[in-house]
Amino acid sequence: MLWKLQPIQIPPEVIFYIGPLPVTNALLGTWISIFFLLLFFILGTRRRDLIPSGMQNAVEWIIEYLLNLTESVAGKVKARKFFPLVATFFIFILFCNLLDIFPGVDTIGTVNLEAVRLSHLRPPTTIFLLGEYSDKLTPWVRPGTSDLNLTLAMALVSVIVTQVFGFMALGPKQQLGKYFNFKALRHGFQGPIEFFVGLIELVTEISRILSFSFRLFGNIFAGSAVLAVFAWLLPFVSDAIFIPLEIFVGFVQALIFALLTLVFLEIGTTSHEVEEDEMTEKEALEKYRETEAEKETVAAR
Amino acid sequence: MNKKPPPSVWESLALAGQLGFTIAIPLALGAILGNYLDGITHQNTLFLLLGLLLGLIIGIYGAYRLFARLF
Repeated sequence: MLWKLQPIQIPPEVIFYIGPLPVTNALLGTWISIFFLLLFFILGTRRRDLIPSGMQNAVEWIIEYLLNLTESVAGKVKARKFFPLVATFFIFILFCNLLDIFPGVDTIGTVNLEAVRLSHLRPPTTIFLLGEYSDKLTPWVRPGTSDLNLTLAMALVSVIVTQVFGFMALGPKQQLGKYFNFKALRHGFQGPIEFFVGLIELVTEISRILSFSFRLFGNIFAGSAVLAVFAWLLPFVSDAIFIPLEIFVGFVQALIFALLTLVFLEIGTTSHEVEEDEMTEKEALEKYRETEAEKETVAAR
Repeated sequence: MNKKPPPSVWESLALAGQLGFTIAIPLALGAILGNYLDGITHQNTLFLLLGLLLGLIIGIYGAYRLFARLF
């Protein structure tokens, strides 16, 4: 057999230590993504011409597109507050995801001598690991988002920032009242139900940490697993199909993470008092009717 | 009366992606919690069913909250 299937494993592998701290291949991948990100934006914003060209044009296009997207969800005023976080999420996750399709990621590394010894082989003598040796590799670089630690950290940041913005926009009393609605208990029959709904809200907030982290991790990890499996099953041909697919998935997942953060920020900073909204709606309807009546009278004349 | 313009394609896609998780995760958490409570109280499936019911209620409410903003 010319080559074997790469072992697909969920935890990242430790490749070296800095003092007592282990550095895994996913962490190294994250650092490489950060390096490319800094390089791209420093080169793009080095000369800030009034009429942009080249890299600056690309950077400005990205930022403008993201700002428009943010404004379409959160409105002009709030968008300025949310934009830095949401845009950073999108661009950072996009760079991490796209690392997946670079040549050498997941395929360049050190020989796993432990695995070689366990399968009773002699240490390899060539640079390219072929045949029996082809699955005895510890890759140096792995895309950062294919490690649950990074996605969980980002999901925690997303949920905690949502809470912080909620406290800032609504004040501690109203924000905590969303989850522990003691005021509703005085309402008589409906009171306990409203109190229970508040507790449900708290559970959905917490379960969002899971959904954010597992969706991103699952998609990117599965993507690199698909690339590995199809590189083994149908080499050269399959890459033409699956690498474009991975680019698309990486883009969509980055966008979904950022947009969902934005949507929940928007929900979290909007007052939960339903009566207010209904009043404004009624008023708007009355105004609309008045203007319509005026138009009719004008038309009648 | 529609106060907001309809969401963009990407926002709709993001919300659709979140819908499944919003329903499934509370259900799974409820089932795990119910199963654990069944284990320590030596019930047959009482807490499992209660946990599933609670998870379902939370999931449906979460899905409602996710899309209520748009209407």
